[in-house]
Amino acid sequence: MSLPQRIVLFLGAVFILALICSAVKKRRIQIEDSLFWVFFAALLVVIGAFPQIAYFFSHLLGFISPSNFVFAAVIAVLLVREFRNSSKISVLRYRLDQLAEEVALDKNEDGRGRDHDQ
Amino acid sequence: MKVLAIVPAYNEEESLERTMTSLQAACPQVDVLVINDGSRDATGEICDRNGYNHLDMPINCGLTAGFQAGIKYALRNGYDAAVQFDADGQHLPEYIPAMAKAMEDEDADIVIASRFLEGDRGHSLRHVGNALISGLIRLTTGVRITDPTSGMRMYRRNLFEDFARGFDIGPEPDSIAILITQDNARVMEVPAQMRDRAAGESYLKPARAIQYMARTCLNILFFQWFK
Repeated sequence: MSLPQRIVLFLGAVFILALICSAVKKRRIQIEDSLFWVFFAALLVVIGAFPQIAYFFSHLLGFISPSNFVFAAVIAVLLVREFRNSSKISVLRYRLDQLAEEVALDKNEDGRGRDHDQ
Repeated sequence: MKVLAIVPAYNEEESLERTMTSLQAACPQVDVLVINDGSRDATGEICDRNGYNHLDMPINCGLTAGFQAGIKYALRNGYDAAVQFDADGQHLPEYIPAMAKAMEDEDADIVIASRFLEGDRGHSLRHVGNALISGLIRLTTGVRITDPTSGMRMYRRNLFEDFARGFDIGPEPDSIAILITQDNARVMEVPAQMRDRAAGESYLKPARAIQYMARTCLNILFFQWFK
C-alpha cells in the first residue's frame, strides 16, 4: 500500500471520529451505537499504521493487491452492519406498533368505563 | 355467533359515516370497531360525534398494526369471529351474515367474500395480480382461493392469537397461505360483489402495488417455510 493510500485511511478515520463527536454533541446518537464507528475508525488507523496486516491477509486469501483486500473487508463489515440495522428497524417498528396498539386499547377501555359510571 | 367488524380508517372522513350507517343498518347484530389509524382529517371527530366504538391509534401504524389492535380487542372481549371491513364503501355489509353462516355451517376458520366465485374474472392488471397470487397459494397449499386479494375476510376466534401475537402477520393473502400450512386453517369463500370506491384514492398506487406483489409472492413462495 502506498503512502497516499495510508494517509487516506487516516483521514477517513479522523473524518468518522469528527462525525461521531458532533453527533454525540448534538444528541443524534447514543454512545452505545457510536461504539461501532469508533472501532471502525480505529481499524482504519491500525491498517494504515501496519499495512503488513493487509499484506498478510491479501496473500493468504489470494487478493492481487492489499488495497483490494482493504476495500473488500470494509464492504463486508458495512454490509453486515447494514443488515443488522434493517433487522433492528423491524424489531423497533414491531415494538412501536405494539405500544401504539396498547395505548389505543387502553384509551378505548377508559372511555367505556366512564360511560358505564354515568 | 358474536361477530366483530373491524373497520380500519385512515383519513376516511368522506366515506366513514356512509359506510357505518349502511353497516349498522344491514347488520344490527354485528358489533363494529373503527380503527382510526392516526388520521389527520376529521375521522376521529366523526367517531366521537356519532359515538362509534373506536380505537384511536396515537400514530399512523398502517393496516397490519391497526388490524392487530382490532383483533386484540376481539380477543379481550370474547368475540367468536372478526371480519375486516373497508371504511371506503367498497364492501357490502349484506354479505357479513352469509359469511358468518358459512363459517358455522362449514366449520371454516377463514371465510373470504369472493368477487370471482361466480362470474368472470376481469383482465386488468389488478386481476392478473390476483390470479398470480391465487395460483401461488394453490401451488403451495393445494387450496383453491378465487379471490385472495379480497379485503373482506372473516377469521374465527382460534386464529386470533396468531394475529395478536404475530411479529409480521397482517390481514393479507400471504397470511392466508401461512395459516393454511401452519395451522391447517380451513378456508372457504362465499360469492359477493363489491362497489367501486365511494371516495378517496386507492391505497395501491403503482410503486405500492409492485411492493405489495413482491412481498406477497416472496412470502408465499419462500419465507413461509422458515416461519
